[in-house]
Amino acid sequence: MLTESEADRLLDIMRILSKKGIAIIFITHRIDEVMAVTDSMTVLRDGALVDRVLTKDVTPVRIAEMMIGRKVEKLLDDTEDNRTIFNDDIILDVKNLVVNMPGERVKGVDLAIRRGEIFGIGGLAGQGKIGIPNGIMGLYETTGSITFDGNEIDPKILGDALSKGIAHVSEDRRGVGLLLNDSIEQNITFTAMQVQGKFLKNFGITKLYNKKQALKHAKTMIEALDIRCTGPDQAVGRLSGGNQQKVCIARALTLTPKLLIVSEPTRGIDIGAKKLVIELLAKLNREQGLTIIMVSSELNELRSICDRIAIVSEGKIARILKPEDSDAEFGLAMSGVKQEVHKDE
Amino acid sequence: MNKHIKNIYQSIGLPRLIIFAFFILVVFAAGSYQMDVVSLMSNVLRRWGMFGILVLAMVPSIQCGNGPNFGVSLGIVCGLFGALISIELNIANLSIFANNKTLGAWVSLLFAIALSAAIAWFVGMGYGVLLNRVKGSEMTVSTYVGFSVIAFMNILWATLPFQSGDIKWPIGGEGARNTISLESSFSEILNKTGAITVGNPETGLFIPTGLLLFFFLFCFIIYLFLKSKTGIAMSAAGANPNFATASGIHVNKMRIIGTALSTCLGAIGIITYAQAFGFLQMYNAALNMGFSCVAAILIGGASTTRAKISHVIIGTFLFQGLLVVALPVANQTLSGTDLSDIMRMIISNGIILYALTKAKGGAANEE
Amino acid sequence: MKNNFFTYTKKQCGDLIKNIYSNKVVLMFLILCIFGISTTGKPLTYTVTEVFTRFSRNSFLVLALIIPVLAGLGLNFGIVVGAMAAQIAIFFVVYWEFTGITGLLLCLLLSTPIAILFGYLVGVLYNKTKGAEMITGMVLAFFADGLYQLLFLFILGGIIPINNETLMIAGGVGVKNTIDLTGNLKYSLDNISMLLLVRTFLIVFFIVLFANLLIHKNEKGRTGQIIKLVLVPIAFGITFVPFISDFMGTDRLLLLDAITIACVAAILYAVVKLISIRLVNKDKETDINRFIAIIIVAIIFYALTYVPAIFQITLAVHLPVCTYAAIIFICAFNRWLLSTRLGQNMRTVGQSRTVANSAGINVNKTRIIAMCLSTVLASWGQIIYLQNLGTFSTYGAHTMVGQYAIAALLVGGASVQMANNKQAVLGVILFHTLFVVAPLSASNLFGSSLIGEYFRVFVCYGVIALSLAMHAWKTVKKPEKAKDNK
Repeated sequence: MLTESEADRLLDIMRILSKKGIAIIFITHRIDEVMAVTDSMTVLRDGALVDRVLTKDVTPVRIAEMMIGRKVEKLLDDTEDNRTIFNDDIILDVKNLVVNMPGERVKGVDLAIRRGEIFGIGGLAGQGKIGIPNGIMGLYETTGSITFDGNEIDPKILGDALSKGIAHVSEDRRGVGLLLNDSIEQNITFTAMQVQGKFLKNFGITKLYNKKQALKHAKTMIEALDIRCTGPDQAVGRLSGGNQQKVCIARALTLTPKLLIVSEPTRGIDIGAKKLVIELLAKLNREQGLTIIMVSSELNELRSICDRIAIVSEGKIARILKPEDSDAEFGLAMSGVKQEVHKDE
Repeated sequence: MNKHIKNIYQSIGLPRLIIFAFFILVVFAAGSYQMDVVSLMSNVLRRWGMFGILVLAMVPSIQCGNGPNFGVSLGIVCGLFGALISIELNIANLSIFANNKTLGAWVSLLFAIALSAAIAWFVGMGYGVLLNRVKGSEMTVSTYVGFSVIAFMNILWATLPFQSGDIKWPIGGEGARNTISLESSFSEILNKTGAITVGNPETGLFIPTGLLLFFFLFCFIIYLFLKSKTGIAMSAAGANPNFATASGIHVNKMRIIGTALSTCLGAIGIITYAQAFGFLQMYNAALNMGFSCVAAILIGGASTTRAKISHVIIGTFLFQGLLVVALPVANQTLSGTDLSDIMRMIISNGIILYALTKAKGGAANEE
Repeated sequence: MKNNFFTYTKKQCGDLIKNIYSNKVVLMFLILCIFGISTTGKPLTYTVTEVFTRFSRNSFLVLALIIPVLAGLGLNFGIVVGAMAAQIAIFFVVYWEFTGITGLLLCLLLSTPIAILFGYLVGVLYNKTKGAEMITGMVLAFFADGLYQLLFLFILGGIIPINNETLMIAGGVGVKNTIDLTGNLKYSLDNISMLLLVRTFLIVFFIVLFANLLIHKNEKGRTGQIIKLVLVPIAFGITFVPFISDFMGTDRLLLLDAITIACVAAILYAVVKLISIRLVNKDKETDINRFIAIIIVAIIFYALTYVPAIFQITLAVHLPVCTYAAIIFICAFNRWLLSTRLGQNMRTVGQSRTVANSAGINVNKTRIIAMCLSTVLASWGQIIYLQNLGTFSTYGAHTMVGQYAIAALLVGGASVQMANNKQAVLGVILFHTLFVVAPLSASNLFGSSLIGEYFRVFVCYGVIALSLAMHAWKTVKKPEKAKDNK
């Protein structure tokens, strides 16, 4: 990560090198820098070529549009939306959140999440959106004030957020989200057992794991979330990505949380399973009133399901947009273009 | 059918298969040489119970993520110390027990175990703190800490003012003897308690029930622990520290608990071993015990990151069984040379090497 | 000018003290050694002679440990394997009744291919256990010991018939516990006189220069090479001058003489450099303080030898020239290796395997080469060790080799990731001083040398444990610190 002056120096050096006749391929998402220094550019999106243009023929807004693209396919069918969301019923109030997560630093974020809404957090990789939930859950060095449903959450205390009713489905499914060699039932019941003391039989001096109860619950979850497996005893490492994700969600739901934060819920999952996961989240929100914060790098899925979407750039909230706002606005917010429009709420 | 066989093969693993086959082979060879297979089997059972708890000490250490506890010598010296105190205080021969020798022996044994377990718990906690600071190098550091502690205790054994006649050298000389007889305290008490002899009292199969029950009791205790809330948290901390932290578990605290437990079991284990042997082996005898225990649990099917109670039971049986039966057979076949120590070295260290090459976490899988 | 010199000296002294202080292990050992030396109850001459003997015996082995450290293999506990290769060679050479220099050369010749093979196998094993090389080395040492005992106790005499009553156990199967090397290999290297050494060196140098001249016909600097070519026979002729040939005919150099020669050489070197900088090149800017310092230090050292106590010591100590030449050779080799491409590759692999891989270096192959080199050097080191010791303890000579050598290296301030020649040399001196002094001191203070022995073993293991722990501590702390700094 370079400071502004260092970035300027880098651009100067690139200009000097190119004058000497050395060709430079500059890979970046920063539209400002691309406009400042390049002669031509190739825009890629989702691994495929979008267009190849000369810099003088194009504007930042156009580049942003190309980067975002317009997908016709909607992930969520238009279901009935009978919720009432009150603007002043804030379930999670975050002020000046600073998180030291290597690669995803958060440098001061304010959020006010309304009860019962689905709040999206988007942005490019490395800009800090993943750092926000990890900071709230206390997994990395965090400072800031976090108030949840009237209670204060201290990110320095391990498991504070968990014990106060926030559940988190991590973006790193295999690394942080699962015990790959353990069974589905063990994974689903783990956090609830540790944090809330569920699934334990009391024997006086000690509390032992109540396997019968755990299996029963696991079976319920498997049915409810339609987890494709050979049974609750199957090792979680054997499942497909989508089903593993469902196990993670099941584990979070077993805590009966008041707020569910999902990071990258559909990463590495095939398109069919993607739809299922999104529908599941929508169902939980519509039918049970579960407040959901969804962090994702896929703008499309955020726009299908969220009520509001915050775009994170350079560790701060650039803008909070509505799903129906234009592609260009999303693109500009994500690219950290310095020309600031007005901050919506 | 083929796939089924292949699955079994993969789950057992090649080295275990080799060891198992070797074991069967050697038993047959013993039979064909008309050796006293029954007495060999009695020996196997005895050694099974003897080493069991020491091998069991590996489980908490592996499960909490510290890898096999090469430094179990820390627990061993705690155990030796407790046993020495018990002998020094001559508990077995207190006047209360004048009429009941067995009770006296039991009490002295339990006293030794209780004292050394208490010391071992504290030592183990400190050791756990050290291991937390050296994450990634636990195996090397634990081996050398183990060696250093034994060397240091050698100095203590040689200088502490013991009064008991059993401990001191008979004719002057300083410090404790190399091997201290347990005749007058708790020698073989576990073995003899409730022992069953199948067949002829002289030549039949001697089953040291007391010893085996004691071993299985501790296996059961650890099994229950691993099913408790703390035990499950500890295993998770070892399997995936990030996962555990995300569920609100203090990984470092779990590792300390695992290490302390392992050290305790080491202390209890050496006392069990000594009483079955009849002698307390001081000084450098404990140097290679760590490696034998690690080899035994690896043979039983454990890896450097996961270990179950069944691994302990099977592994100790196979390892000790192989040693007990193979050596007389080897001596018969290749007459003249005493290959006992050499075989032990080659087999136990070979197994550990194999397990190291298979260790996950990028060891063999990079590039 | 004088001001400059004083500030220079102050700075150097300050740096030296800071270095020693920052390395707690070195400091602790220094204190222990000083304490120990003062309480031995034996004359200083004895201690110093012992230390020098042990130094010449053990340094080569310790220096052979440097290469694996640089290549990222950590402390090579598997160095035992190299020692075993040497011992196999020695056994056969003694069996075939070769003695003296021929015997020695045959040992070297025989042990090298065996050591290369062993080194290759160990390297392959280390490649399969990346990240856990040290524990693998430790376990390997025991495993190999088992195989070695199998070989010596059972195969030799059993499967391979060896007909020699002095070497084999009664019954013909298995080698005896100790093999006495007096009369065949003892001192075979130590006894090579300086004269022979210098002459051989000059001949080899001449041949190399000549070959160089023939091959690179069109290179510049030919006149320089021809001058060198002419100087060599002149030097060779000088060795025939009676005074010099007498002096150099001995195989042991008196410490006194060694110090004198060293001081004179240092002063000459410094003076020549001074003249060439100031007068010939008329260079006013290069810092000459270093050379002035060399001259002064040399004079001080030489003056010290006039102190009666020190004079006694320097008279008593005899240095086997050839062995020291070998030690200097391996130091130079280590240095030279680092300047080659192979050495730089090893360094890169040692610092980061991923970076090395992306730079196109074949990581596995480099590691294997490092192991082979180290094992070969270790086997030569073991030969040097045994020929000086004179008794070959068949089943025990190699067991503590790894522990002692590694402990010595660590005592000198090396770590799992960084080691250089200076640390190895310093380490050998400190470690072996303590080794000699501990039992004597303990028997003097406590009336029991047993405690001293145990203390010595404890210190050996303890220093390794401490060093490994400190290294691991730092590795865990560094990324945490980096996180804070960002």
